[in-house]
Amino acid sequence: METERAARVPEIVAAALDQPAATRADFVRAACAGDEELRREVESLLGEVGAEAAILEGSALEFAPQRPELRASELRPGESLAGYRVVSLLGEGGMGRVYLAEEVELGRKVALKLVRSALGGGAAVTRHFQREARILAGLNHPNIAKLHRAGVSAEGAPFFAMEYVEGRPLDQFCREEPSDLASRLRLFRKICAAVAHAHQHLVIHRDLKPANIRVTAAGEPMLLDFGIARLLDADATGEETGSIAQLMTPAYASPEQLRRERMTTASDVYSLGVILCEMLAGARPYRLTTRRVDEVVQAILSGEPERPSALLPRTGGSAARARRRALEGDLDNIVLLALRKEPARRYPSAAELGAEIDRYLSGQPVRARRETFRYVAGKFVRRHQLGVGATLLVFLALLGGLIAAVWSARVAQRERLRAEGVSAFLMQVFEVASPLRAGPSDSRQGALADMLDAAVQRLENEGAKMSPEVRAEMYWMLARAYNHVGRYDLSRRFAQEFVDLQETLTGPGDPRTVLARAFHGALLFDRGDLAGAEKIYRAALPRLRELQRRGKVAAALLAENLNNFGYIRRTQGDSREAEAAFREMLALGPQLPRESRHLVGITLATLASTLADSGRFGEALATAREAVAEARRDGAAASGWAAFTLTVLGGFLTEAGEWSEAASLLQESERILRQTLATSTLWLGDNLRNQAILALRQERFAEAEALAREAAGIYLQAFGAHYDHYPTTQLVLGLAQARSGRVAEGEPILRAALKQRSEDLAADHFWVAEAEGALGECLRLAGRPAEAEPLLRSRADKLQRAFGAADPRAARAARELR
Amino acid sequence: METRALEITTLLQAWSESGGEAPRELLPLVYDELRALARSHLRHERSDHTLQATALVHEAYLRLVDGQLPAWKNRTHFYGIAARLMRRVLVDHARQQHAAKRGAGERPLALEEARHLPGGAAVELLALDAALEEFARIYPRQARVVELKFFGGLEARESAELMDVSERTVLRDWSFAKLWLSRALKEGKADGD
Repeated sequence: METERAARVPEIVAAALDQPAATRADFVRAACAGDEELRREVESLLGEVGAEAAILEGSALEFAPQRPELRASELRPGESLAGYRVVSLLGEGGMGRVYLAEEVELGRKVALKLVRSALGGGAAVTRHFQREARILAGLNHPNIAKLHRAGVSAEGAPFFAMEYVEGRPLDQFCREEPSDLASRLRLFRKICAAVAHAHQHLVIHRDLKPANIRVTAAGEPMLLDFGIARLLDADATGEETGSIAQLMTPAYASPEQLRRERMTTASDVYSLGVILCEMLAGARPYRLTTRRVDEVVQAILSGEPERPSALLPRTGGSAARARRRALEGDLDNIVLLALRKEPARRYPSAAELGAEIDRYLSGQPVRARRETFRYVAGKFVRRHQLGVGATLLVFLALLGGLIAAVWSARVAQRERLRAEGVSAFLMQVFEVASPLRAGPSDSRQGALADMLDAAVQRLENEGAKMSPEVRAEMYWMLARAYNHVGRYDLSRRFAQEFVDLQETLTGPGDPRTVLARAFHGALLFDRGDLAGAEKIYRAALPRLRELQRRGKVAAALLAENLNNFGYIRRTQGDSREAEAAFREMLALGPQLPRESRHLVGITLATLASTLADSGRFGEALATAREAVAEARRDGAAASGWAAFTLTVLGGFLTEAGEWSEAASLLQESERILRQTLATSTLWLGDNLRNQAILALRQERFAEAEALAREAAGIYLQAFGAHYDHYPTTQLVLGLAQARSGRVAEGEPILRAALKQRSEDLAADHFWVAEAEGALGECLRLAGRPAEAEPLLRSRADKLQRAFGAADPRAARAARELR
Repeated sequence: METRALEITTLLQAWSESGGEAPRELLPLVYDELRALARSHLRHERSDHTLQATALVHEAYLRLVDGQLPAWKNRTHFYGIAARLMRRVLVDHARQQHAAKRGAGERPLALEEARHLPGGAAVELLALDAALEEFARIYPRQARVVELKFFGGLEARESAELMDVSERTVLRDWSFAKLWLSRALKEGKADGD
């Protein structure tokens, strides 16, 4: 059939399918309008209705032919292999089959395991296999099923003869033998001891799961299949080939195992953590909605495990409540510590985990408690540092950094007492409302808010009993934490409390006083007192530099304050001094610890804006690209600050007329921000503002208006109308209205924006110029050219002076003058 | 493995930034990964879950990019090429098996061995592949929909996003493709394979 006719077929078929079967033929006849060939084609396809249901159903994989299994994996009772006579089939697992067999020579029972697929790779691989097997056979522990022999059958299939263990798999045992917590833990303790024994012999199990742990009639655990995964997974050099990773039951596999990274004893610790969780709570630590492997893998790689106590059924009366209470706290923490994503943060080996269980059983303090607090605090910081408004001063020295500083060994006696007070207090707070419990981003925010509210509550109830030092720490912690979650009102309240109290506690040369003063400067800036903020920073920065040189203050704190100072100067219109501060900050980059690298990205983005302010648009664009590259390089591409760099670059691309790239960056950024942050944060405001500007340029006025309103709402809620970017949203809003024919609505908004700009800034500031231009354009649209022209001319002149004639913004202003 | 994951991450990133065709170097890496995964599935080594192309492709994605890539955009792009590669993996596999069966005539086969040889599935998949090829010559967009859904396991919404058409279009294309392929496969059989 010729192309033109063929092209019409799908459309007619689709429309015909929407018709009731009875009228379909008539419809087709009408639609084909006498084109018989077309009609025949359509009819022929419609003739497949019903038959087509049989094709393409399900998944392509079902079509694929399956690989023949090795015949050798099938043995019948009475058949022999390498001196073992098969008695019966015990079971079939992922790897192959397990038979009960008798060793002909000795008459003892063995479990004979036959692997399904052949060992590839020839003699060298076989030798390696034998060598490893000898190591495994050397493992001698009452709770490890002994490997008698490993070999390769004539067909090339590896087999193992192991001590035959009569007993039930661990999960079945736990279901069938209800027992108290202490006996469960003692059983688990024995499992840990067996794994620890292997670890001491440098053998990692790699496939620990309840099915591989049998409990005998005497109640003794026996571990099966030790090291066999490794045995099968190495080539001649002992290098792991990775294919065995796929044999693992993913539910018990550690994240590094799923990623096929190097496994260590900590990988077994992870699997033990899952097993312990199941023993205690009857469920594995990830709540899954399906049993699909991708969901399992995703949960293990990036999900948040549940606390065992939260996994217990909600019903069940007082016994269940008692069980839950027993798990809450230490046992929850022990399991969670074993389940850390990063191997280095878990118990390093099964022996350590076992020792922890001992500590718990004998009523000693467990390690997990302290670790959990550290972890929660650190995690809290990693998650919420990104909630900070960026164009706002960047208070990113972190709660975690604060705590670390307080904990550092150098603190004097008085300080140490104080530190203990703070950590004990914080610990209680975190125990009350742990963010570990939380799920997706909204509930995470909720949990965090709960946690902070709990902190405030405690401060109000017990503040009087605290030392002033502890109270000061609390204020600072709360000021920063609320800042992180976008509650700027509360943040300011506690920041003020902190500054007031800190001044009375330490002398002027003390690092804490200096930092408190700088913080105070940032507060003034927030209130719109630019000159006051500038003065404070001018005094604080030299001291900070000095303290940093002497190692009293972390480079990250100096970096942060340099960024803040630069930001203040930029807002005041001194691009040169701002640029110098930013560059000084960037020079500190190599000294910054990884968790403060975001400062580099943020400063680069703000530097880009500053360069644009002084007319160096090309450099600005390049710097913004550098900021984005920094974000991507840092592997932080889904973080809030990375999104901020995208917002900034998107803004420049809008100015440069690269609209499609701008749109895609801005949308990506918005998505990240909405996924990762509280929606009230300033970064989202900045993003929506830039999207509004783009929409305005593209003459999507309704959208521009909606975006500008949303951005304005965020700014207003955070800081009120004096916030430096708020007027920009009003300009976009007013212009969108004016350009879509509603000059009467737009004019008062634009007038108000111009008034505010003129009050806040010097008359020749380009932001004033932009406000004049917007109002001028509105008046021109209103048919009042005499009022409009002076404003438009003023804008063009000011922008040309500020940026030079070649700058796209100045050029556009000049064009619009004509 | 780590360097490989890194390489892929970099390639994917560069690619998603450029927005053009997938880089040549990326394809073999993804192909290998999918093949390894498909193999283990086909060996029934993981009997605890169903065989789903989505799961495989998703898993390949997780393994390859290690959760480092943020953007759904990358993800969809990745799924787009993964679908095409998945098709190739399966078809290559079927072709091999098919060839093995034909070649088997050269030496006598024990009945026991013959039992394990591929049956109709390989042939069916090859026929489908050929039909899809022909379909794509006339209706490229509709054929792409089949590839994304059937081989890549993409949802209509995801396909729509990837192809930049509406979800409704994707659903209509799918219905149409099924009718067309159903007829083509029947004709193929009637021609006497």
